[in-house]
Amino acid sequence: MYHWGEGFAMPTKLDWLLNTPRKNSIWYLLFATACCGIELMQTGGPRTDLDRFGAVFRATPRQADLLLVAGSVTYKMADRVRRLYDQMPEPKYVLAMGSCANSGGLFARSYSVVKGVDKIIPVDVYLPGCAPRPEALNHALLTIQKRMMKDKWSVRRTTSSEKLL
Amino acid sequence: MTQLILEDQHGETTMVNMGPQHPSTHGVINLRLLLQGEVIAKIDPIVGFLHRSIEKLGEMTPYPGFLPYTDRVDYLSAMFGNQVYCMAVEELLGVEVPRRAEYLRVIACELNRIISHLIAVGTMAMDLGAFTPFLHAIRERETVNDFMERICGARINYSYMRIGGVPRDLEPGLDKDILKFLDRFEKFIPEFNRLITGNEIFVRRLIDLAVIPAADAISCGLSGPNLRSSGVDYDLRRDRPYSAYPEFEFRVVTGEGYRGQTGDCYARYWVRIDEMLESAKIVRQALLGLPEGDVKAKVPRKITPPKGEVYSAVESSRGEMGCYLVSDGGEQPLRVRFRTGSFTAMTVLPKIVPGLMVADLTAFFGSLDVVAPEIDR
Amino acid sequence: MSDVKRMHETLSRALPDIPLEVESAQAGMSWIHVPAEHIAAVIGHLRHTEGFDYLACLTGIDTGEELQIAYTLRSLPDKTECALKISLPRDEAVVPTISHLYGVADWFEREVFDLYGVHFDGHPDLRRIMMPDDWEGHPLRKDYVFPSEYHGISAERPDPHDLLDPEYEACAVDPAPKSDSKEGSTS
Ligand code: SF4
Repeated sequence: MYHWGEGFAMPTKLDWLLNTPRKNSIWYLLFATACCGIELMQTGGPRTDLDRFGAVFRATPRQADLLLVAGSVTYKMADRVRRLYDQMPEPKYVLAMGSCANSGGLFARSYSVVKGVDKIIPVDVYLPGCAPRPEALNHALLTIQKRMMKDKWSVRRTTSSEKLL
Repeated sequence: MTQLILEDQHGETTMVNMGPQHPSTHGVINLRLLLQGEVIAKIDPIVGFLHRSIEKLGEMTPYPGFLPYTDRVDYLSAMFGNQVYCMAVEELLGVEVPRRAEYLRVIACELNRIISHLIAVGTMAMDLGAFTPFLHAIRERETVNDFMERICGARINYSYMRIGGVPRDLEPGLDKDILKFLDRFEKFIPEFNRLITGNEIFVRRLIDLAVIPAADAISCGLSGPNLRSSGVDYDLRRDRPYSAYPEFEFRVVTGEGYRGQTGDCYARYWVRIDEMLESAKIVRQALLGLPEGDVKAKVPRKITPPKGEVYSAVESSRGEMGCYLVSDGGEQPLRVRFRTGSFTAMTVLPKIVPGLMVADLTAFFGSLDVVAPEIDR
Repeated sequence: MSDVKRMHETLSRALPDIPLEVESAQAGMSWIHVPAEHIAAVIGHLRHTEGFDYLACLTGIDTGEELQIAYTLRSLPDKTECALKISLPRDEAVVPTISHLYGVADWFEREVFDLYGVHFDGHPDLRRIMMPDDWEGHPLRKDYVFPSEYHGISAERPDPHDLLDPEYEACAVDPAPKSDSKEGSTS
């Protein structure tokens, strides 16, 4: 993306113009690793319909704006998660769903679970719960939308997964 | 037919990685395929992407505290994980579970079986490109989820049972609601069948596909619906009786008499549909015949079973779920091991898959109904 | 119980050269203890002659002193079960495989190899199954040391309490409010 120099202020209207369509069409990557994935599926189902926020699931990271890490990530999986994240186009957001993705949760004492997915990729919103209810997931999605509205088009987000290592 | 195609290909092969992030692998499973054109010549399933070391955690946790982990062994049928673990500890302790508690367990388990099978048939249809049945299945599932919430307070990871029984009784009025739901559910299944099961496109895609012969099914340790759909009449609820199951009448569904052959994908699909109806029958019997009494036996606060080992098994929705528990007389188990239906179901892949097309693999894999955490634990 | 005793008698008659013993603990089930090197022969006999066609469970156990492997066999037509057990030294644990007898034993044995480091002689494809290929150690052994990092991902997660702003924490654990601090709190 073209990067304007420091101190260049664009009217906030442009941000609004760019962010509004973005926030109303969050396509999330269907990345269900564990139990939280079922809750994610049910949230996409008829009762708490995610579609009404413009959020639909995609099966490929190339078409996704939001990586919804639903569930535990193990060391064996860690590399793949990072690769998925790197494949996503900018701007991209990450929602860590469930205690496992936040901090290891119930499996924090285990030898094979990554203690929080933020050790691998940058996380925008943490959603606690084991498993979070669909209402909570809805709320997290709205939070992501709010987060998107704050984005300045002139400021590049740091989204590299390498910095965290 | 497939043999011919294999010969045409002049030995040219391609390696294809399916997964771990693949919408139709039901969780994080990696299938490494060697393709000759469109036909699979060899398959190497790579698992372990969700190995959360539940068994090691079991050795580090006191007996009652391990219960929440048993939910996560198979989150789609968490009740069975609870039950098999509780049964193992109770057997070591020599605790007699009150009859009412056993009935409540049966009710919870069979409801769990219904919603687990709903997901199974729904995702299987979704794998084949039909999205609507999945939504219908989810709708019914949500209703049962509400009951589960009223039974135990959680939507997927129930942690409902305790060593010695269940923590609390049914809330007043819940039995009526469940009965009402069952009436509706028994009408829902024919509706679902009209929607997808009888759909000619769906049927043609599944019949005679990936037939598992009974001998292979037994040798590969398949269990539950997968074993029965190969024509083996074996159900732990009937043949290795536990809990209150001997008191109920139900039919053990085998995969015979459906369209296509015994042991094909369509039979596996049908067995699940029919099992849901059988489960509904069991729930109804249990609710109508619910005995009075306590729901929890007296169990000491600090649980230290005597030295010994035990293997308990229940018929979970994905087959036999077993718990091999070894106690050394301490507060923590010496070894907890879960034997799960999905793990053994994966071993049948290298036998059956070679010769199938890639698109058929999706159907076959969906029909096995494996979930990743149960394979890896 | 009686199943195992009966099986023990049948086995001792059929395989007189192999020393077999029925063992049990204070509670739970009993099992037949088999010398490790004969396990394939015993299970082969059970499978082919006695009709135990189903391997229900195969698991490793680490008691701290020795490794054990427990086999739970089942006969689907007769609905009987038979538990067998072998003991192995902790270092250099080698057992003959039974993967030629049961298809499912292939993966069961891979799992025991991965998590306990037991080597199965004659297994067609003994690789790690749960852990990554470059993982060190066998996690379910009692003396396993948990890794502190893997591929640069550290296994530490600081206690959230340590991350709190110290001043904030001071406010949070402030004892009962004093009467003359009213002015400050209203601001
Ligand atoms: S947070 Fe809880 S529900 Fe979610 S994946 Fe982890 S254990 Fe499962």
